[in-house]
Amino acid sequence: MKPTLLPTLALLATGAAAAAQSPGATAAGWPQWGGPNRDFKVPSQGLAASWPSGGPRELWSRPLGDGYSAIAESGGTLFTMYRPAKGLIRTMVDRIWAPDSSPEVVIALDAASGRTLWEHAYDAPEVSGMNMEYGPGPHATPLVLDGLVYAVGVTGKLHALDQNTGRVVWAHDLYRELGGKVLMRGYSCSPIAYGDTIILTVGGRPGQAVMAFDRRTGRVAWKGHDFSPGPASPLLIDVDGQDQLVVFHSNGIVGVDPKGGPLYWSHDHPTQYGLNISTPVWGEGNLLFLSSAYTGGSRMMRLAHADGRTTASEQWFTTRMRVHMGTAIRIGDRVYGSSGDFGPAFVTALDVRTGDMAWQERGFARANLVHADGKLILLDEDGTLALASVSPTGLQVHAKAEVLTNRAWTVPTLVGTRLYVRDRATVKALELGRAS
Amino acid sequence: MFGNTFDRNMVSAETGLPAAWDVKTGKNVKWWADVGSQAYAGPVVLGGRVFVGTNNDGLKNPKLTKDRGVVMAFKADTGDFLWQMTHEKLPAGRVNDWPQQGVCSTPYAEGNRLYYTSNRATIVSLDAEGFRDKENDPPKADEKEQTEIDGDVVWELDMMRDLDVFPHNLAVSSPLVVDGLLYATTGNGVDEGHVNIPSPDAPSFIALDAATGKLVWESQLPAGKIFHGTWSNPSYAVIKGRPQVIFPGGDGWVYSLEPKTGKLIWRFNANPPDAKYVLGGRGTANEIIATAVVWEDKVYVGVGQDPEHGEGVGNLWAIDATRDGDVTGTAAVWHRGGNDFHRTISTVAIHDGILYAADLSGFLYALDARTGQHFWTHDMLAAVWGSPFVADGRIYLGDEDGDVEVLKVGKTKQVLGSYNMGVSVYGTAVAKDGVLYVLARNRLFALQEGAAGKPATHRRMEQAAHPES
Repeated sequence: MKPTLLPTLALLATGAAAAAQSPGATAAGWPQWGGPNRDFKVPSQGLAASWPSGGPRELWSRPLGDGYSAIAESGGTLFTMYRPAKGLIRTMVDRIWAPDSSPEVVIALDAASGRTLWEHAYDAPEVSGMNMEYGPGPHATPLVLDGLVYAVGVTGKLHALDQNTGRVVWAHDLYRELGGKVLMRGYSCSPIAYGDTIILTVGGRPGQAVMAFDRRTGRVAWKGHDFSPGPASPLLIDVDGQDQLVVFHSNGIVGVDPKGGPLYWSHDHPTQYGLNISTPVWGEGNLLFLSSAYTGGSRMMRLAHADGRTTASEQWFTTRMRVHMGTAIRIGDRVYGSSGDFGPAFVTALDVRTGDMAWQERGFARANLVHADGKLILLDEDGTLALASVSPTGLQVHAKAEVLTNRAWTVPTLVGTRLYVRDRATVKALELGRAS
Repeated sequence: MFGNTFDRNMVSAETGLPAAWDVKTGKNVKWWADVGSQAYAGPVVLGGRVFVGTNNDGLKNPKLTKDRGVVMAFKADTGDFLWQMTHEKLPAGRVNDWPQQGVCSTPYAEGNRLYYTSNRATIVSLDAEGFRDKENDPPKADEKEQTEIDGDVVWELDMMRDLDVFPHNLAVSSPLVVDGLLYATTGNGVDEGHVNIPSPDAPSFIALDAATGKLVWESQLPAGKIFHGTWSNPSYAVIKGRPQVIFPGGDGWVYSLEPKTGKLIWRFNANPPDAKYVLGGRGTANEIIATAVVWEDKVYVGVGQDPEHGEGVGNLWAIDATRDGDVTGTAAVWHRGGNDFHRTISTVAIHDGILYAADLSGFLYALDARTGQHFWTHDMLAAVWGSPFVADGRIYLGDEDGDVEVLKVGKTKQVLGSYNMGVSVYGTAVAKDGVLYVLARNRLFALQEGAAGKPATHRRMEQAAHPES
């Protein structure tokens, strides 16, 4: 009874990404939030065992506007989003846009050089009820699939753009047009593809916690449910042969039919302010891990589906691991993440069966983790990048380098052995492969 | 009161306190009671009652819905809920009154009175019996709610309306009353843009007539120099025959004022000369949120910032409090900072010449209070907001993981145990009559040696009063 993640995206992505590989690397694209399987793990090989003292080789670096959107990759092109900040880009934008406008930009960059291939900019002024003290966004990550790029900005503006030109194929405004729930820090759910649809959390009006849009036309394929969405992005899983969309919402977690059918199961995981943010982790043993800060803690659910019914049973709960907004990763019988609300953060390992703390380590601010080639790549919010591996007793850091200087809340993107990272001012490509 | 004595030293002479407990089985748990969904204020124990500040997610009165700031009173021997005072949120919202934070001011309790700062930036005096005594204590008699579970207001001073204060995010000061004067900080700070101070001439420090709530004096120090907000608490001591009220400021200076007049006695910049305040949490200059402790004519306090600004370098000072004027540098008895002491919002405890100090990064230090000499460091492996509490030969310190760690006092580190309360512990433990009170984020525990209470299961917050922000 080995659970599998839905394979569609993974297959599409690995095929399409072949062109972008550095020599000797295994093909693995990053077409959406969380990578091909939305688990922050990629099948890359050939990572160097360590880095020179100055850090991994920088292939290119260029200015980019503000934002925490992660970088999607497909077919040798990078896709992300930004808001023009003060400086050169903003100056250029102001020539076209009024200086008091609030444009948001979807950008395609050549993965090899960082050169801009196209941009799609649109006005996205802050919506009443938003407070962008920690940055104006955007937060969500584009999804690239079958020639289209799906991107949602911080004010809920959703665009489907031609992957090669940036031309708008269809668009929706989740807030103004569809009455979606305005989150205090803005919209942050990254789209996920299922069949002919892309799925997002919307909320606000009754019966539309989740909405699915036809991938080609943008027509609303279905909508449903009445839980209250939070910042987290949904996940697609296979529970004993049944596809389920898992939504970590503001007060708990649910499994629903990704084709617009019923809600299969629901479990409470309340946090203060409804801030469940980190993407849940699905893995062997039908175990679903969820974690949040703000009094949330970590919880393990076991799911089983038989005779048309899903049972969801809580395995354990602990207050000792609280992943705020970073990634959590399961490797074998351990789940790893950077735990901590605001002050110190600790790279933490929990036993998936018991919830017992295996170990905790200092040394990084709140960090995002990506797994490849038997190693963890950590990028903390101070811009420290590290290569590490985990053992039963702790974290072995093989190399560490300061690669970014602004607040780095964006999960790095690994394609082959190339790592794409950004902060609120810069995007760069680093080579993590063994020297050939 | 916060710190139990005017010098705010987090020590107690109580004995017979529990060294170990288990909230899951009820071992050494006398009782526990659910409060709101967040609680940072208290507990304060007086006259057989325990008082805490929290929010309204406990919904003790189903009629009074929505987010509010709440002060709750419980019976000390049983944990039974007695009464509550609730304060509606300010219409301005999070800039002045952050959602769901509740009342963060630990009340000052004396005789039959409670004094605290509400979430609406009012200083409030309550009858400690509430309306349980079926009397409405004057002068205020027009309380909207007057059933037996409601609070009985004696007087209330609106610092925004009457003193032009602009509290940043929340006014939280835990007041002191000495010789009929109430001392408090006001919460004054920047606006939502975090640069402009809308009321630079409003006071940061005030003294009121505790009987009437009338303003006696106000101090504009540090005027337009507040980095973020004013969130510390006053302390009081008579130092070499001279009374002083010590106010840590929103500009990172410590101010000593004459209690009767508010006139400056001395001031001390707790940030090094090259420290810089940087918007959003980076930077090396900090305000002071911790409360100053007075011990052997010295003032002990560390600098820090809003915990949401994260970790950073801190400075812990022992300041000679016998001088006058700007004593920056010259009055420093010792200092610990840089990578040896980080930002803190915790108040120190000094016992038997040893100072115990915690920082937000989660380190607990034992230092020689006279020289600053380092004895040991304990890594809590979690953020610490509360303060070490010393009693019965032990140090009790709670953390964000929900663990209360118990260590033996002394120059040698000895960890006695770590006890998880099921939810983050941001408050500071207190003790009274052999009972240790621990305020966890949404639950108040009374712990007593030999008690066998009901097991505390993980609390599912319904958030009925306020579903989400």
